[in-house]
Amino acid sequence: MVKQTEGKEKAVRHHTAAQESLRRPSSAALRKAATAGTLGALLLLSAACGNNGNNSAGNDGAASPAPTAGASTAPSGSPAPAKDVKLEFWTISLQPKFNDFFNKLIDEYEQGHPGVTIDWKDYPYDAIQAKLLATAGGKNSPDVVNLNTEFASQLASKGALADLNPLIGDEVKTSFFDGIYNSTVFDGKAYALPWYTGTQVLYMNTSLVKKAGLDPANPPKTKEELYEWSRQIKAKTGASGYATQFGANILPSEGVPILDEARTGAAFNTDAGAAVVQQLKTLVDEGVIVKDDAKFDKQIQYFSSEQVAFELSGPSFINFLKTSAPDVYKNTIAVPLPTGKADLRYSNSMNLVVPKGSKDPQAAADFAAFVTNADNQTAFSKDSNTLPATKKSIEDPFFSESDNTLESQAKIASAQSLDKAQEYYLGIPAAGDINTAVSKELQNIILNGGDVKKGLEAAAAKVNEAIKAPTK
Amino acid sequence: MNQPSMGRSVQSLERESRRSRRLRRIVTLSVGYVLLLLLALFMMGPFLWLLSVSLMPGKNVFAFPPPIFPTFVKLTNYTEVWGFINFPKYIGNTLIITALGLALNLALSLTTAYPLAKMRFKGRSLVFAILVSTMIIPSSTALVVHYLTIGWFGLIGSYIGVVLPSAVSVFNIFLMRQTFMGVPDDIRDSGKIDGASEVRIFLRLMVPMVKPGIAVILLLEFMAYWNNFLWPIVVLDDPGKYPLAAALTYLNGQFAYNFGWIAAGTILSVLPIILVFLFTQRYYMEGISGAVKG
Repeated sequence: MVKQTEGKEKAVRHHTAAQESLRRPSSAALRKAATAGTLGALLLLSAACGNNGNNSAGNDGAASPAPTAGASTAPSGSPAPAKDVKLEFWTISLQPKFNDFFNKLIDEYEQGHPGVTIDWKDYPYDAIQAKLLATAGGKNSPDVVNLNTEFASQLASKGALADLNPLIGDEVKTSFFDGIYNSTVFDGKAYALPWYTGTQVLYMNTSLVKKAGLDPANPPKTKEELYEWSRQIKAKTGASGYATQFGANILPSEGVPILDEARTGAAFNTDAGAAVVQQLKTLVDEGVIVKDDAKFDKQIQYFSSEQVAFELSGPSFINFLKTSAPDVYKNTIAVPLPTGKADLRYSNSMNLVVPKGSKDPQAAADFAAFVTNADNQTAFSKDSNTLPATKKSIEDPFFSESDNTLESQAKIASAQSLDKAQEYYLGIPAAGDINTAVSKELQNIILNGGDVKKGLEAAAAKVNEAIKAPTK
Repeated sequence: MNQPSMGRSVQSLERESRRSRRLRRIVTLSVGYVLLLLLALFMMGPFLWLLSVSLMPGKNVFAFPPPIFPTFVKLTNYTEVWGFINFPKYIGNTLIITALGLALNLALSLTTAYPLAKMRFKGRSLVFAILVSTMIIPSSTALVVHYLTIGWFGLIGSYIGVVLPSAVSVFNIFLMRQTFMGVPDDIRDSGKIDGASEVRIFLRLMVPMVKPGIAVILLLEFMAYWNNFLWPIVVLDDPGKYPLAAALTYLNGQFAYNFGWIAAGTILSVLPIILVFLFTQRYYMEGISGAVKG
């Protein structure tokens, strides 16, 4: 009987884990034991597949001499490759909703590039990382893969992705928002092309806000104001301010970097770092922030059950709220996110990468550049209620016109901060271990009453240890 | 004169005490039943909540307190999710995978456990110790190795590739060994005296004696294969060949998310497990207690 219930619970848990990982990629890779285990195995494999990648890249260069990147990435009129290429293109959870969109896109590309066929496959988020890791060692590596920044940067720092710099032209590189594009550039090598994205906005339960005697038309502009509002809401209605996860990314958003400039040691065990953590601790004690390390699925539950008045999240939060709590959805508005000391808003992007095992990295990069060009990003964003990562797309009036739905409020609020948006990433192979170490200590301090200074020192020691540990 | 009255009073005293004993029994029993019922409800809570959510489209899923019993019943979630996912096809795929997996698992664990339990040969305990020691290796680390091995066999994309890595389960071997050890040696000896071959003894005498153990393996493996989604997705390239649990993960994409559908799909997918459990639960209980005793 117990076993049986476990089975059912597991089925449900899979789903929630997936939701959470979509929005909170930083925790997804850390928490999933499966992924953690396979990541270790990848270390061994990446050496092997690195060789494969180099070989195929070399062969390729010989077969089609001097592929001029600039010309071949232009959507039309590019020279046809000398041989027939079949590219395997993996996306995350886009079928069947976007079947028509992609079939049209692929048809268009195949017609413009005779000899190239695109084999589009769509996998659920839960499985794509494991599947990619498994195939990375074998011969059937895909050619173009859709990944979030966290996972793309982990794979890149471990040497599993192809460097796109020699494969794409400058106008492709400069077409994206800098903050987002640079999050997957390491040592001058570009590992991913940003695709659809979203920055955090502030969702507000207007009925709770009004009950507390506050005016939703005049929303909080700074984090301090947000805390003040939350205190008043707590006092008048009993509901908390918001729920969040105490992850490592909280520190940089308040201007405290995790690592030093050279990425060789911890840099958060300072007075400034201690002040940030102390403030978080106080906020939790006051009831401004829920006393729970709430992952994305828990945040949805807190907001849907009106236990909190705010939610800090990207535009896709609406997709979850709309079907799970239609009554709360009606009372919710979206406004620009109040920022902390660093005045930055995190974006959360999906990228296209070319694994090193790709049979034809040049053709793969061409196709990736086609999918992520401004026109196609604009079209996809309109279809999917996401934001494009290309600067030109955002000039489209669609991203500034409101029809007063929650979707368009969030879209506009989010689009406004795209140029300042940054991804959270560390860009070193030990990133996963560092994130785990820091968030564990943060939780210990904030939720279990640990000492601030001692906790930060302990976290810093673990981080330094993780950096020094031989990972390659 | 005195005797009968004394007898009567003793009788009435006895009757009295018997009545109070019965009363006490009823009280303890009912308290026990109430506690057990509450416990059952507690364990069933998440499932009942899922059921209620699936039956009430348009309601706040995360309303507080969570609804355990539906206040109204509407089947739109079920009809919509049935239209979204091709259930018959995926259930068919799952049945193929599950049947293959069960057959391999049973055959291999029975034939491995029997010699380990009943035959005397050199290195028997060493073999068993090695088998058991592999249980500490977490299976998730084996994913890449399994993929490479299956690829080397050329089985990527086939159902055999899906079931092969989990065809040998040390836990099942362990369970069957314990069950075989509980069968008296006399049975095997009597078979030998009658001149039966080892294979005949195994199939005709021993296997029928360990039916409860077989039922336990059937149930556990059925659930494991039915719920397994990660490995099938990794090894199968064509989503049309996916089992149901893998197909259900498409329901919680960032864009197609609908909790009512997830709830309805999950309920539909666990129904077969409940059915199998209802039919095997008698053996299951026997098997578990047998294994613990053995």
